[in-house]
Amino acid sequence: MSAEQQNWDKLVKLARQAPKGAEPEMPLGFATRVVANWPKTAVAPSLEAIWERLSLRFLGVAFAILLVTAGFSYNVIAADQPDVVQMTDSALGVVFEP
Amino acid sequence: MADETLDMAACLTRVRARDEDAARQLVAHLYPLVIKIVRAHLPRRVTEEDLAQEIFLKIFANLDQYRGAVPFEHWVSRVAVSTCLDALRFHKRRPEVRWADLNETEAEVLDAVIQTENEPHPAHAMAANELVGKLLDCLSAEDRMVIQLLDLEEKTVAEIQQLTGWGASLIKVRAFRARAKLRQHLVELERGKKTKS
Repeated sequence: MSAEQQNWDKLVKLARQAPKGAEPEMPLGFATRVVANWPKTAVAPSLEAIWERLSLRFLGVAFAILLVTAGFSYNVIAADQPDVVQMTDSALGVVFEP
Repeated sequence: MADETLDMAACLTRVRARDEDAARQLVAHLYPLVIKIVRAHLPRRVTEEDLAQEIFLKIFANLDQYRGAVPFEHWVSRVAVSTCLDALRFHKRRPEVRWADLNETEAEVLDAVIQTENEPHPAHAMAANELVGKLLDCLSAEDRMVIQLLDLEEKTVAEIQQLTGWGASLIKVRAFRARAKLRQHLVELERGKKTKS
C-alpha cells in the first residue's frame, strides 16, 4: 500500500472517531412549517397511473368510434344482400365447376 | 422526538388522505433519520433545515410511489440520499485545498498523519473530520457520496447500492477514482506546506 493511501486511511480512521454530537432535536415548529408547505408541492403521478388513465380514455374513444361507425353503416348491415350472394356464388362456380 | 410506537401503515394511509396531523407525526418520527443523512452529506452554504424540509416535501409529493416492497424508512433514506446528491451537484465543488486554507488544528492533524508512523491522537478526531470534509468538497457529488458512505460511514457496497440505486461495479470504480483524487490532493497539500516552510 502506498504512503499516500496509508495517510488517507489514517486520516479517515481518525475522522470516524469524531464525536457525533447530541441526538438530533427537531427545531421548534419544523413539522408545522413542512406541513404548511405541503399543498404547494405538485403531486407527480406515476407512469403507471398516467398509462392507466390514457388507456381508459383510448378505450372510451375507440368504443365511441365503433358506435358511430355502426350507426352510419346500419343500412348496409341490416339490408338483405341477395345480389352480393349471387355474385359470390357465380364466381365460386366459375372457379370450382369447370 | 421520534415516536417509536407510530403505526406506520395507518399513518401513511392518513397522510395519503392529506391528514395534516398524521403528516406532522410522520415528520417528527422520521426527523432523526433524515437529519442524520442530511448532516453527513450537507453541501457548503446550505442549511440543514432547508435541505431536510426539501426532503420531507419530496417524500410527501412522491408518497404514492411507495408500494411497500421495502420498509418505509429504507425508502425515505433513498429519497434523502438522492435529494442530498442533487444539492451537492448544484453547488460548485472546491477547486483545491491549500495549506493556507487549513486552520491550526487541521494543519497539526495533517502533519501528524503525514509525518508519524503511529496513529494520530484521538483528541484530533474533530479536526480530522473537518479536514476530510474540506477534501471531500473537492470531489464531484457522486464521488463524495461514495467516499462518505464507504470510508466514513463504513457502509457495505450492498447498502450503498440500496441507498443510491447504483450498481456494485460503478460504486467500486467511483471509490477507486475518488481515493486516487484524494491521495493527489493530500500530496499537493504536503507540497504546499513544504513550499510555505
